[in-house]
Amino acid sequence: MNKKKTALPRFRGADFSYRYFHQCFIIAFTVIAIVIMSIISDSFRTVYNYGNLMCSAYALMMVAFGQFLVILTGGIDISVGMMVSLTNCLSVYIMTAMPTATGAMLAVIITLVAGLLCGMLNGLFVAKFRLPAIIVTIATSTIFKGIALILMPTPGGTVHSAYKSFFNWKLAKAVPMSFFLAVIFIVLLVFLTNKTSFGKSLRAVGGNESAAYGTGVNVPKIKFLAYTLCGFLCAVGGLYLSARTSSGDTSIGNTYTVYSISATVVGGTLMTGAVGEAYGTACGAIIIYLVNSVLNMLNISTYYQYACQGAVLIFALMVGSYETRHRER
Amino acid sequence: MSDCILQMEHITKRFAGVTALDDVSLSCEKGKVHVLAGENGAGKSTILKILAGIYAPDEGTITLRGEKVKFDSPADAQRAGIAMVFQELTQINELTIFENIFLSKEKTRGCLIDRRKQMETLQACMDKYGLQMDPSTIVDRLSVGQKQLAEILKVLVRDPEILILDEPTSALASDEVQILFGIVRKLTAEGKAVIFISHRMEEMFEIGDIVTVFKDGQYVDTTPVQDLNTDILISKMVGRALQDIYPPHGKIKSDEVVFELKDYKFFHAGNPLNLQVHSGEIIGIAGLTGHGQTEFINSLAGLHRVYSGQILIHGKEVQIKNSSQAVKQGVALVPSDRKQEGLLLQQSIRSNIALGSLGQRKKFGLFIDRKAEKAMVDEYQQKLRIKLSSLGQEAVELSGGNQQKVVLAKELGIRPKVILFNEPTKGIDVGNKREFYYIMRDLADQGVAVIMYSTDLMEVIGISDKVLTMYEQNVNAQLTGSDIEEETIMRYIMGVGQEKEGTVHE
Amino acid sequence: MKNTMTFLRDNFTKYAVYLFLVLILLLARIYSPTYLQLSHMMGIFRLASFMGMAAIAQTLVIISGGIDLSIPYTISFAYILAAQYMNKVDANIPKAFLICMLLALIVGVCNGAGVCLLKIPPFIMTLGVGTVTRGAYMIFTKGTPKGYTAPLIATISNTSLGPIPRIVIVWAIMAVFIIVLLRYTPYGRKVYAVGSNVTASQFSGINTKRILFSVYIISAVVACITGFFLIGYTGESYLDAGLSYDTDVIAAVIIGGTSINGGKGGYLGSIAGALIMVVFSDFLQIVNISEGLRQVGSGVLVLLLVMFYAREREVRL
Repeated sequence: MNKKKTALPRFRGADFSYRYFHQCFIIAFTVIAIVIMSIISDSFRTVYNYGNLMCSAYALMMVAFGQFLVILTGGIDISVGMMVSLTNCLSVYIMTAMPTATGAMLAVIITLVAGLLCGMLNGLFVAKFRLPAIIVTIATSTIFKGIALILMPTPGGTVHSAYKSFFNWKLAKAVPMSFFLAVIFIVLLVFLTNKTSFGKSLRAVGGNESAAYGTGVNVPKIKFLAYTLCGFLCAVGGLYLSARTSSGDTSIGNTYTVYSISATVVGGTLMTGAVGEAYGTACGAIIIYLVNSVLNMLNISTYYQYACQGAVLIFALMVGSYETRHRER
Repeated sequence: MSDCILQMEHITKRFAGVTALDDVSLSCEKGKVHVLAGENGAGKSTILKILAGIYAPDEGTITLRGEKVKFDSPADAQRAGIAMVFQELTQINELTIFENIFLSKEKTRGCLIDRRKQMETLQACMDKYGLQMDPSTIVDRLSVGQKQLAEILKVLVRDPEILILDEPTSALASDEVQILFGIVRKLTAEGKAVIFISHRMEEMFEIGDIVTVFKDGQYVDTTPVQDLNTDILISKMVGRALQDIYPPHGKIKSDEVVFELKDYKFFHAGNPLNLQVHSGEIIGIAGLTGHGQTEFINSLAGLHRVYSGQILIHGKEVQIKNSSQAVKQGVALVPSDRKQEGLLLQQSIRSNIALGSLGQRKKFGLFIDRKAEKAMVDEYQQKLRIKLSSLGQEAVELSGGNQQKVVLAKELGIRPKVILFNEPTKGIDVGNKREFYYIMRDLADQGVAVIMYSTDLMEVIGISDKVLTMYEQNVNAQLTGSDIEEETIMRYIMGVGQEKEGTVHE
Repeated sequence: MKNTMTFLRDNFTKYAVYLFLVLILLLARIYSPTYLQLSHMMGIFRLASFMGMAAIAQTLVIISGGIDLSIPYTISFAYILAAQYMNKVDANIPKAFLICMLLALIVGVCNGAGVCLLKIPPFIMTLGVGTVTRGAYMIFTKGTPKGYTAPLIATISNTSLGPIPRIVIVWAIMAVFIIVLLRYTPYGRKVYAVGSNVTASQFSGINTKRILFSVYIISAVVACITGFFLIGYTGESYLDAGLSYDTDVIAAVIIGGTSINGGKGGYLGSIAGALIMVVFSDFLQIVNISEGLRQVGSGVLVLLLVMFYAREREVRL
């Protein structure tokens, strides 16, 4: 009788474009850019270089993922850069104080917990006390920087050797650990934001808070979780940086706030919330380091870096704006 | 009384010193459509929000299916089988219809979402109520009426026992209204109860079984609909017989043309429109939703593109390319959505009223003349009888009718030569509606060109001296005199009227 | 009595920040008896002038419903341009000033175009423009900024007229200008209206595009003026001189009672906000604690202050 399976809702045409236009564009852009650069430049085409690009971009990718989750809910996190500094300094501090394998493990655990706590602090003030995200995270940014400075007034410290080699390992001396970690996190995040109830709720809160509340979504809890996860992801980034730089430095996170926002927006996430994909954000992070890498290859001085970063950002904004305005009939 | 599924008794609710509900009762029976009628501020929305779990009553009890219940949150009420569809849409625009419906009610297989099961439930529901929508459509792309229907679908999927609809038809086109009524009849046939708030008399009589009237936060009475007619119902709502809802037609000075359109096109593929508005004439626009009425009105106010043609005010041609030019030329607009388009909700009433005419009161050419402004605001507050506790109050705190009066005051402050109304009495109670009609007549008598659009046909017929019927972005007839009646108008707005576009019927 | 209570409750936001300022000053005085000495206070006011000027720009933009993250970069570029073109000569001041105004026009128009015409959210648009601006002055100076302030500007920024620093007078003039603009002119009302509800403003006959464009242009102009006087204060030109005027200025504006969403607030509060930030940071220097603790204290202060009156509305239907 009812042998015919009920058709699942399928995305077509205008609906697909609404949600995925920017993502498709960005992925295409990234791929094409890499391909072109590979053709033009011999030094770019090396396995070492691809690996290097991945490693540089990885920490930013983690931070951008955190920012992505927060922006999906319609918020913003200005403190991500300092959370990176804090977790970097914290992990190095512990490993310097306890230069054993146990010390390294402890560092990882404590740092991840610290990341969670930092995120929770943000979440508490934004979600529970309903203060504007921008000012809360500006304030907590200063607090995190302060804590980092207390831990490491001057850059330095040592990192456990096994810890370092773990993060810097390369499969067949070619594919770096960061690549695998990136893939794992991308898959997890895509699953989280698209296939779970939590992910849909995140987008709902970003789309229309009172509507989400009316539908039974626990808005404060969702926001709180978003900021907490952001803190956790920043901690992962910080841990990776500790392995990469082998030292703790409070200024290491300085560029990450702006870069993470850029990466997210370039990757097609709308600042108003609800729209965006994890893989788009990942591409955004890659593009940012790609720009720097390209400029180096072409022997253009670093002074042009900022201008190019800004230009890429504005270009991405214009693409996004075209889509939005086109959509508004 | 065994049919009685819900009883709310002795409900009292206070907000910051104002008693919104004073010892009111409401009960409803299974299988019946219960209409809740009353003026703005009578407490209808409040009591239903209490039922939906949004507010908690200060006093009183709610008995559901014979048991006393207490709702701490909307989720509680939903679990008990009560569902409410609001005037404000609660859809997430960026998500699809499907995603909106199943937002926090995920059916899980383990911890994964079972989309197949969800789709089956949804399809069954759509089939049952005759409401077919493509679930993968992103809500942002729907029209307002479709969004409202998607909202109703969202609620139907949960299979509620009691469905509450708060002014559901204000955004719907007439075919969509019939779909809604079909759903309501299906629900009552199954023994569910439906509670319905509306300001539209015809709807109350078409679909309602029992009518409960509230007035000023107090319970008046409950009557079966067959024992009522329009006059009786109005007198219950207003507390007195309301004579002459519509003012008598005024004197039209046919030698004085205050507003004229020549070869006017506001759509690329439209027919050029020629229109003359005489002093004392009120022009009404009739049409099914979405046939260009809002675009037409907005184009006159500089908010929509004019493709060709001339606009003449008092015989002089004017250029209206944007809204500030429109205001400079003396064109005022009272828009259809007062909350989004008409008011600065967080600002004071005083600021709102002064907003449209800031350029007109300048001291030394540069600064705001506060004294003149205060005088102007006071003048209009009294003239329009706006009920408020202080002029410094935030606009969001006023009732719908008074909010609309604030918007009107703002527009009148421009000292307009032309005033446009887009759905002027939407969501406003009958007492305030009447005030608006008299104000419009007053303005026309003073020589202001009054052009109004309403989806309420009775209103258009009652107030207009000339009716423009619109069909598919064109004005296809200009009716006067005895032609202004329901059947003729209906034929034109459905596209089956008799020939002669753009000409006047005598 | 009832009238006073209602007045206080309605206007608490506007005046509370001054209360806090006084509290902090008292606290500082208790700790260090010389704190309230005129010379010390005037030094603080001099520092606060620059933050106060930047806050003029930011307050205006935030009230209009946006935010301007390009201000620090505009200040830095104007700083560099001013130094380069003044180059120790008073007669060059007009030329240098005009060049800075040209920069302001370009930056303001870019910001305005993105926000108004392309409908890009101000946060990210101004961030993009700011980054490009930074890139521009990096390229312009090739990493080595040249030039020096003209003596007249240095005098204004560093010396006093009697007990009052000249730069504070400049700040006061600018403050009066913005307060009058916001409170007493139709333009100001329109800015508040646009920040409150753009659609309703448009329907009321306000040319919202013109207002938004002008807001970003004024912001850039004020930022350039700030950079112009800043070089007078420090003398020698260096890169990224204005970068510290980003989050601190936003904090000052929000603490001052202006709502981040726009439509409410005013510059009077931002003055107090700027003063609180500067006073507190100065106070922390005196208290002799580590740099890290100072930062923590600064952040905690901002959090505590916004707890009082930056709460957003409860989510409700």
